[in-house]
Amino acid sequence: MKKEKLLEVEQLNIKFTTSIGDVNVSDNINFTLNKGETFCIVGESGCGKSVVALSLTRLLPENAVINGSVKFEGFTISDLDDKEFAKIRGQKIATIFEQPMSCINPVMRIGEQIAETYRANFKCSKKEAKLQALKKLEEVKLPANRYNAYPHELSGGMQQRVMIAIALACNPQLLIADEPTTSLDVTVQYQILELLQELKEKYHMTILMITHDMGVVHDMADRIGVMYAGNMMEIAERDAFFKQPLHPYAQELLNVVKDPCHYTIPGTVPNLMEIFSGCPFEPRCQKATEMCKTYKPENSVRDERMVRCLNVIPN
Amino acid sequence: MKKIIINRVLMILPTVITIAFLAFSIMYFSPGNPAEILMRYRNPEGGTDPAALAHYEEMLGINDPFLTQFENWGAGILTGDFGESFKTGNPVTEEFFYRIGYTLMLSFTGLAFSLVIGITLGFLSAEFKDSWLDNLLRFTQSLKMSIPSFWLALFFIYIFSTQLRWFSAFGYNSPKDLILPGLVLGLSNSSRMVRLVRTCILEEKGSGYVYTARVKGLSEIQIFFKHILKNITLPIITLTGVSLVSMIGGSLIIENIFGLPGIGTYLVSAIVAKDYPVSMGFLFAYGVIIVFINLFIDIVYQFVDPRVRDCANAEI
Ligand SMILES: Nc1ncnc2c1ncn2[C@@H]1O[C@H](COP(=O)(O)OP(=O)(O)O)[C@@H](O)[C@H]1O
Ligand SMILES: [Mg+2]
Repeated sequence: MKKEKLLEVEQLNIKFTTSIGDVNVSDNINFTLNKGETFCIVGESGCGKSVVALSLTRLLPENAVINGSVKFEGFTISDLDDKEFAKIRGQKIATIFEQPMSCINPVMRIGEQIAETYRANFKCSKKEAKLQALKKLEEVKLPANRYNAYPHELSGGMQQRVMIAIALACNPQLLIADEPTTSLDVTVQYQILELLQELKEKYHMTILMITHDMGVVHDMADRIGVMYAGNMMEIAERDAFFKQPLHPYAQELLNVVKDPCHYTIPGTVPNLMEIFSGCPFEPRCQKATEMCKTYKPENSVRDERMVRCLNVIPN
Repeated sequence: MKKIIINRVLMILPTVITIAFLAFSIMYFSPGNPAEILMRYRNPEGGTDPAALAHYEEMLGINDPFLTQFENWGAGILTGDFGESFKTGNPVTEEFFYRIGYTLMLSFTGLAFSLVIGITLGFLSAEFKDSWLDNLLRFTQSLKMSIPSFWLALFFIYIFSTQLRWFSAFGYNSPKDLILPGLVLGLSNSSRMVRLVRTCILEEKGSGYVYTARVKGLSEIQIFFKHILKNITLPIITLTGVSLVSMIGGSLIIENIFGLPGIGTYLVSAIVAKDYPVSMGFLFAYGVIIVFINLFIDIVYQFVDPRVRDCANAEI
């Protein structure tokens, strides 16, 4: 079966110019999202995952310099003007952020916030929008009498459900979920993931899930991208990945999952202001050679698998 | 919430007593003998007959100790009796209620101008941050801060009354005569509002709900009116209260320049004429009005933000 591509990211480079120097957050990143799949980008905090996600919907602040191409349904998004893009952003791509409390308006009733999304994108009466919003509340399993609640009256899990309802108000094709469960309790995390899975199947959505939690990846992903210090280190299908991760960083991430209480990857994520002459993971890598210090690894691709490491070739 | 409001109301009491004390002391310690002044008003040709003077001193209780006099005046206030104007012989309260309307109308016109100017320019400044427009606006705001309001008033009178003849330069005949003084008052009080609105908007723009609103496909203007504005109401209300207070104070000068018959004009002429009961009464009233505005703002505060509202409820 030929997979249809929804989003194609090619040679994406992002840097922030700041008063104390440039921050390189994305270094020649390539990946594609196929229709209907869940693609997880995983990596430690500070690797640039959120920035890459924000760049897809042109939400980065002005000090970001973006190069490369992002195609959504075949259109290059940087070619569209603000108005055209706002339409795509509203109707076809939805985003859920990590902190639900700060991402819904604290002084507006939650039902209105859902209805507003619908009204912003489709011409309809207030009443119709309210009906839609009530339907969405039901879909995310919040009781209808919560329509008039304010965000602070809800628990974190319920707030995230509201975020999901807002995101799904226009039945988007692509849902970008940036650490949607990180701020929640473990049991609630599980419920939210289950809800996302259920809605994904119902609406045939494509999900780009960003997380630092391998457990979430294991539960949700169809394909996985491992990101480290602005570099996409490995892209693989789920089963192949968990059977044998190829990149030393990916292997380390899985080592942590196997023994979360005792094992940590030595060292820390580098400051992205550094300019790496070799592989950015080299200082923490147990398999590094002399070469890794001086040569930047290139992407090597075979079939569905990509690895960016001098010592590993996908097979 | 009830408890909080009751608290605030109770806290007013000592403040009002202090204001009364200050208003009284200022006039008590100012040079001049009230009895002599009253006598000259009542009987312009009377010369300085010591017996008559003694009669007036007795009537005013001038020779009582300071505290007794203060108590007598204070007791009068409690029953709404501020004495009679030396000059006209009318009760001070009557003079006051006759004029306060003009002062309030002027202050609220000024407030309306300062809100409209502040929010519009603040929005533009934030929306086009660091552009030439923003720089120009910021420059004019800081320029305006250093221009005294009376200068602005005279300048406006010259342009709009003398040259263009759009407004009359002096006196009050119709509400239209409030526009120019209101504009001056609003303009000279809007700088802080512009800056506050600009800073608040820029701060809010970095917050998550604004990102969410963008993701929803709303335009920046929609985001401002539907989301940001409501989130920055609290600081705006606070500053509005502060502005209203400084407008009621500022109206004192503006009323005089534009010849509006408000309490400011009357207070100034009463002080010049050494009309003690009017001066004390009006000073006291100015203070009390300001206290009540602050109280009102505290209470409005409780209603605007659902979070404040609930915290307040939780306290009971
Ligand atoms: N506006 C910005 N200006 C400068 N640096 C930024 C900006 N936004 C993010 N960064 C930097 O980009 C890096 C990656 O951040 P982020 O994408 O949030 O990481 P992750 O989501 O993987 O935890 C961080 O080091 C952060 O400091
Ligand atoms: Mg992040």
